[in-house]
Formats: sequence, structure tokens, C-alpha cells
Amino acid sequence: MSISKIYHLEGGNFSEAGMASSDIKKLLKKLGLPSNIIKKVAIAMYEAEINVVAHAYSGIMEVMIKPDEIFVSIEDEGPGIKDINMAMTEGFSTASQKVREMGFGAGMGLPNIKRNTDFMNLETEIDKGTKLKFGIKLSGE
Amino acid sequence: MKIDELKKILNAEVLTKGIDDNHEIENFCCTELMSDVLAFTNDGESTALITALSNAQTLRTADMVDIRVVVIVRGKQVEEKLIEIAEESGITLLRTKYPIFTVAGKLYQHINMESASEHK
Repeated sequence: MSISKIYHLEGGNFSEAGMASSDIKKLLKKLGLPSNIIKKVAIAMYEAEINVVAHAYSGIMEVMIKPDEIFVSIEDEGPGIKDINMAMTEGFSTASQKVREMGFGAGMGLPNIKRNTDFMNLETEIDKGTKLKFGIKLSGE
Repeated sequence: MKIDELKKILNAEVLTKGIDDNHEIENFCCTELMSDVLAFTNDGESTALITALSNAQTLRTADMVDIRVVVIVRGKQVEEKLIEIAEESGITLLRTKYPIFTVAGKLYQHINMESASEHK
């Protein structure tokens, strides 16, 4: 049995940012998933959501809760990522001053996602947008 | 230390009451970098977040890693949205007039005094 949820994200909307991740976290808790898994999903999703709000114009986040894994796919319309290697480096950020004032833009987003997921795939096109997919495996029960 | 003690040490006002006052706090995180909270919180339930960042994202971030106590320093005004999120998430939101250096110092001193008296 799989559950799928879709969220629309708005670039620049910091007051709503994090709602999708919060929603999924509540759902995973209801489903009784182990807390270490919920924590990984919450962190990875939240960082990805903030990335869209901080850098892109808009985005769509799809979350698939499957028996053996949680799969998340985020596609945004935005400027794209100029240098993926730099973006994956801790401490490197292209965040605006406004984003930094929100407590983000420390350059930990993508590294945090990588650290909390079992696989991660990032594709980008300059002046078009970015597609990020990642998954967290659930141990078979 | 219990939340009740934390309130007394920091002379804190309660903006929202979430978790019970007897709840134990063992770790303290003093930061305005939300990604650091996500990356370095090991056990959110026993951690208090102490910060000067008084916007809604502070509470969202705390909730993501199961932090149940957030202390806003320097008597800063908080947005309405922050109070809403604290209430929804069952987080105890406190505010102290002390700056973050003083807060860290007071808590650190208190913890060290407690463990020194335990070793006698």
C-alpha cells in the first residue's frame, strides 16, 4: 500500500515554509514509523522545502510513502544551480540577505539532505529550474 | 534541569505552555542558524533551543527535530505566526530579557554547580 501527497510551494513565502514537511511528519507519526526514520525524512524534506522557498519561484513536492521506502521528488521553477559541486559543499551558499536573516543560508541544506537520505539525485538547468529526488529506506518488517 | 528551573534561572515569561514543567532538559542549543539545529540536534526531546531569531521558522525548525522548549532572548518581540506554530506543535515558548551570552553563562554555571554538588 502506498500513500502519495503533493504540495505546492511558493518561492519567497517564508511564513508558510515548512508546512509540507510538518504535514508529512505528523502523518508518519500517525502511521507509527520509527522515530529515527521520521527525523531523517523531516530534516531532508524541510531543507528541500526551504531551498525552494529561498531560491526558486515556485515548486511542487511529491511524497510517496511506500512499504519499503519514502520517496520525495521536488521540481521547481527557478534560476537553477550554477555549480552543483559547490552547492553540495558545507558552508557554501548563494542565499540572499533576506534568507540569511531568516536563519538559513548557512550552506548546509543540500549536505544535510545527503546526510539524512539513502539516495539523492539532483538535476538542474540554468534559468529553468531544479529537480531533486531522494529516498529513505525503511527496514523490512 | 526541569523546565520549571529553567524559567526561574532565566526569569522567563511564558508565551505558550506546551510541554509539562517537570520535563527534563539535558542539552542546550544556542544558535540563530536553523540548519545547525537540524544537523546537530541528537535528542530533540531533551534539548532546549535558545535563540535571538524570533520568526516563525524558528518554531518550525524546532518542531522538525522534536525540540519542545524554545527560549527567545533579549526580550524580543515575536510574530503572531510564531505563537500559533508553538501552540499547534505543543512547544513551550519562553522569553527572557537576558542576552544570549548571559543566558548561556547562567545555564552553564547552574549545570556545573549541580554536577559539582553531586560529586561531593
